[in-house]
Amino acid sequence: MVFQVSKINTAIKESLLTFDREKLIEATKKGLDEGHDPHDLLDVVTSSLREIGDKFENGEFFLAELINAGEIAKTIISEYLEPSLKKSGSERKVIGHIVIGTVAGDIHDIGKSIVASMLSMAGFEVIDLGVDVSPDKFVEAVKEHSPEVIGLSALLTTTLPIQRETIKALEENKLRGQVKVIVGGSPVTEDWVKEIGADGYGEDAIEAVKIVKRILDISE
Amino acid sequence: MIESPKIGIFEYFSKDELYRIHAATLEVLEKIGVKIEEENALRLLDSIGSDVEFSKRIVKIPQHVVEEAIKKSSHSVLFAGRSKEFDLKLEGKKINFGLGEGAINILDCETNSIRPSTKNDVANASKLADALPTIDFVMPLFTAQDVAKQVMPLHNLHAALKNTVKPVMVVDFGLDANYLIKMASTIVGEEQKLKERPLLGMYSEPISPLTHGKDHIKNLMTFANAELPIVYIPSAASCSTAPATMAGAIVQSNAETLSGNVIAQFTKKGAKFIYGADTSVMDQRTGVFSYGAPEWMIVNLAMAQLGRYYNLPTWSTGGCSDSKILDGQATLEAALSLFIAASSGANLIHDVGSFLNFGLTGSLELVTICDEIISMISYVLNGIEVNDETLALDVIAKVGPGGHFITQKHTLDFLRKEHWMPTLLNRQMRESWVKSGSKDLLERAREKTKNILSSHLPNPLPSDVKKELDDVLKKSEKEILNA
Repeated sequence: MVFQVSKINTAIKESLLTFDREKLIEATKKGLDEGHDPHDLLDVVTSSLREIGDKFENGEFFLAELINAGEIAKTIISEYLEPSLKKSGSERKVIGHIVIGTVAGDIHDIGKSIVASMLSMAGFEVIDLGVDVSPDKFVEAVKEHSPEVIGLSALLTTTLPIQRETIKALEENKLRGQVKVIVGGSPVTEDWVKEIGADGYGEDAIEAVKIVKRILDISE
Repeated sequence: MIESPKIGIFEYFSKDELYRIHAATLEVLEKIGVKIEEENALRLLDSIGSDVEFSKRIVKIPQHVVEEAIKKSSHSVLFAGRSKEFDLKLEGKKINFGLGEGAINILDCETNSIRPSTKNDVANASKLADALPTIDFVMPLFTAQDVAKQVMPLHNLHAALKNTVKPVMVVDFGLDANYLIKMASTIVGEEQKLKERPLLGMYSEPISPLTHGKDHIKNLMTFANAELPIVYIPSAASCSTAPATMAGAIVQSNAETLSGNVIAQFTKKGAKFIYGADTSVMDQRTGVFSYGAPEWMIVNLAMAQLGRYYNLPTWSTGGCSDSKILDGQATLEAALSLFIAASSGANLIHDVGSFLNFGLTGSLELVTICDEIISMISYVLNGIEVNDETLALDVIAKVGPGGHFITQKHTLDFLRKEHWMPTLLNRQMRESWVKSGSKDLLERAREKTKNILSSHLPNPLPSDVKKELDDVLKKSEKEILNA
């Protein structure tokens, strides 16, 4: 039995490290069919992702590989492991909830999606509102999901001011006190963050995860 | 190494211009002639129908002799490594890179000061070249200034042979080349075997304008008989030892190297002659022979094209500079000269990372930087595949307008094999770069060089070979110093 557990664990880890979606699905299904605790399988997924993150930081893995690993892990978690946890009356522990989106007037998707993917890999539940998201929509999402953090992305210098407007809308709806705001996008600077009263920004997706953990006081 | 560049190689001259340069060269050799300071070579050229004026040592070489020599030449030359996997075949448009030799100083990048180079520096340069993936052949970069001058070339070769498995090329410096051959023979067991495994090449020069020195011609003939690669090319300076016009300087350089080939091929049919010119310009403000001049780049393009016209393996220059320190000028001149030399399609491109300060100074860190430059150039010149899979219509359709390619299998399949990754150039965002120490290119090159020198172990020579090599050095040294 011990041997069997390690075999499934190895298969999950290997398929994540080789970005093989089919193999990962097969290994996870087999693990669940054989009656392994979904919590244990989830632990393997999480620790493998951490290893992939380390390999990215030391230059061994490339960015697209990191994101792919995160994406296929997300599929496994939402389609297999979470339903299995729910069946047994338990649920996945997440380290926080984040609502994220690209602000109104801006349809640049990729930077925000990479940050969302990294956050989800790090163990956050991420609600991605997509692009061209108005301040009102952000307000609605905060009411609905009660996230600890919302992330506002803007690539264009001309859409940066919408980050300020979104923060204002949160204040007007008396929601600002219950949620931290991170902002992102190429033109964002430390000065801009201060000027609009946001809580932080990261220079890149890796930094963004660190910033979120820091403002929520979650240890690395 | 660029095995077969996919992109079009730079053809500098039109066919008509190329032919006029060739015709002018033949006229120089037939009507003006060259001076040869070596008696045996004069007699040899006399015997094959050249017009030799023995009292003045002037030889006028008829067109048919020059062209016959070109026909006799080896059109493909094996330049062997100690290990077969490092063998180079000099032919067609195969492009290889290596260091130079001749610096008497080493640049200390930390203090921007120079000190005389030692045999240990030669060993380090060879070791670094052995480790760097883009360096295909090894010249010792420095000269050992801590040994007797008469035997310095032997010590350079001794240190190089011990520290690399790649093909080794050395400058003769006028020393009897038989000593060099004897040393290299120890690696393969006996001199005869060097013909099968020619792991030593020699670089020697005529003296511009149009003069062949005694010792250099002797060595040229020695290497021709030994069937080892010979680079015999002029270092003329336009405006001083060559005409002010680049076309004229090229004609003269061509006459100098081609007359060297006549001597080589009639000494031994099929001599492993490598053709080219290290011709540059005398700077009109300082009088120096410039190492970063665009005039030299023109010569590189011209000689590679002429070499292909003659079907001879070619020699070229890149990765060097006129700067006094390892700065923006040094990396700019190194990068541009390397790119021009590579896009000329020359077979051996030397002087990588060396010859700061007009050839007197060498820098290991510049060698390391040039490794990155060559890696980039090779990536570009190797070209890209254009086929159904790489045209990517399927994945473009799959993603469609909007969306992204990051999570496509096509991306995962290709991102590693399709793209170039820097090992020295920095692409971090500013904050991360500041956090990791705000290191500039020089500092990173210094770290990488230090790491290689402290961690790379060149494949050692077997102990009996090492002993034999040491013995030959000692014996030769005694002979030369007692003579």
